[in-house]
Amino acid sequence: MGTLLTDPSIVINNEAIFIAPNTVAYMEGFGEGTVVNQSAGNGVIDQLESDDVSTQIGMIKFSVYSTVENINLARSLKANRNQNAITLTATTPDGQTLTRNFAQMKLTSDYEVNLQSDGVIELEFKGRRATV
Amino acid sequence: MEFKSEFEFTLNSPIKYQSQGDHHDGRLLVLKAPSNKVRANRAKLKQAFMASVSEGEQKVSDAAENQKDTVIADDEMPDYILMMLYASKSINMAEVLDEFMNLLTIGKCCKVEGAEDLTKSMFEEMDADDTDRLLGEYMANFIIASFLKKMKEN
Repeated sequence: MGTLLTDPSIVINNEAIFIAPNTVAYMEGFGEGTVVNQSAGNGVIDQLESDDVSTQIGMIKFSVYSTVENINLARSLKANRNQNAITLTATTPDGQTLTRNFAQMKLTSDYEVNLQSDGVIELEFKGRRATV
Repeated sequence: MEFKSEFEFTLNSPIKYQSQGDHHDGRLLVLKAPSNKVRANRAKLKQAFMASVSEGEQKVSDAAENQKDTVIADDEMPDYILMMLYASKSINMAEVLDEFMNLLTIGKCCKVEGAEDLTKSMFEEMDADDTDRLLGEYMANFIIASFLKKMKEN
C-alpha cells in the first residue's frame, strides 16, 4: 500500500514557512499539448503533436493563516515581484521524498486576507517551470 | 591569534540557497563577529568552552609539566577547541550546536557566498562535519579570541 504525500515543507527565499495543512498544490509547468490529425484521404491519417509553450508556466499555491507575520510576509512577497524562489519538499513515512524547485516566482494572486478565527490567505505563485 | 572583523570559510559540501529568485549551490561563507543582539548565545558558547577548559585542567595537570613548551599553532586552534568541547562530560554538544545555529541565523553573522544571510533551513542542510569545523573556526576567531591571545602571551 502506498502513502500519499500530505505534509510538505515550503521554503521561500531561504526561510521555511508555516502553512495551513492540506492546502499545497503545484503544477510542473510542462504546458498544454495538442494532438491533431492530418489526412491523406481514403482513411489514411497521420497525427501531429505540438506543445503550447505559452502555457509552460510553473505554479505553486498554498494557504497561510492570517497572522500579522504572514500578512506582512505576503506583502513582501508581492513587492518582490518575480524575484521569489520556492522549494517544496515532502517525505513519506517510509522515506520517499519529493523535491521541486521553482524559480523567478511572482505572487500573481491579489490575495484575500480573511480575518476570522480560522482565516487563511491563499497565495498563488507563477513563474518558471519546476525543476527537480 | 589576530583579531578579525570577518573571515571566510569554505564548505566541503555545498548547500543550496535562493537568491534573486533563483536557486544556487553555495560553498563560501563570510562570517562576521557577533553583535550584542546575540549576546546570550555568544555567552553560552563562551561558557561552554570555559567549562571544558576548567574540566580539562584537572585531567592534564599531571601532564602539564611535559606540555609547558607545547604551543598550539593558530591553524590547529579550531581542532583543539572542538576536541575540548566534545571531550567534556559536562557539556551538551547538541545544545552548543543549537546556540551556534541561533547565533549565526538570528544575529545575521553569516552570509552564503557573501550574498544571502544564512537561515535555519540552510543551516539544517549543512553537512555535520562542515558544521563542526565552522564552530571551531568561529569560536577561535570571535568567541574566545581574547582568551586565546592571553593564553599565548602567558
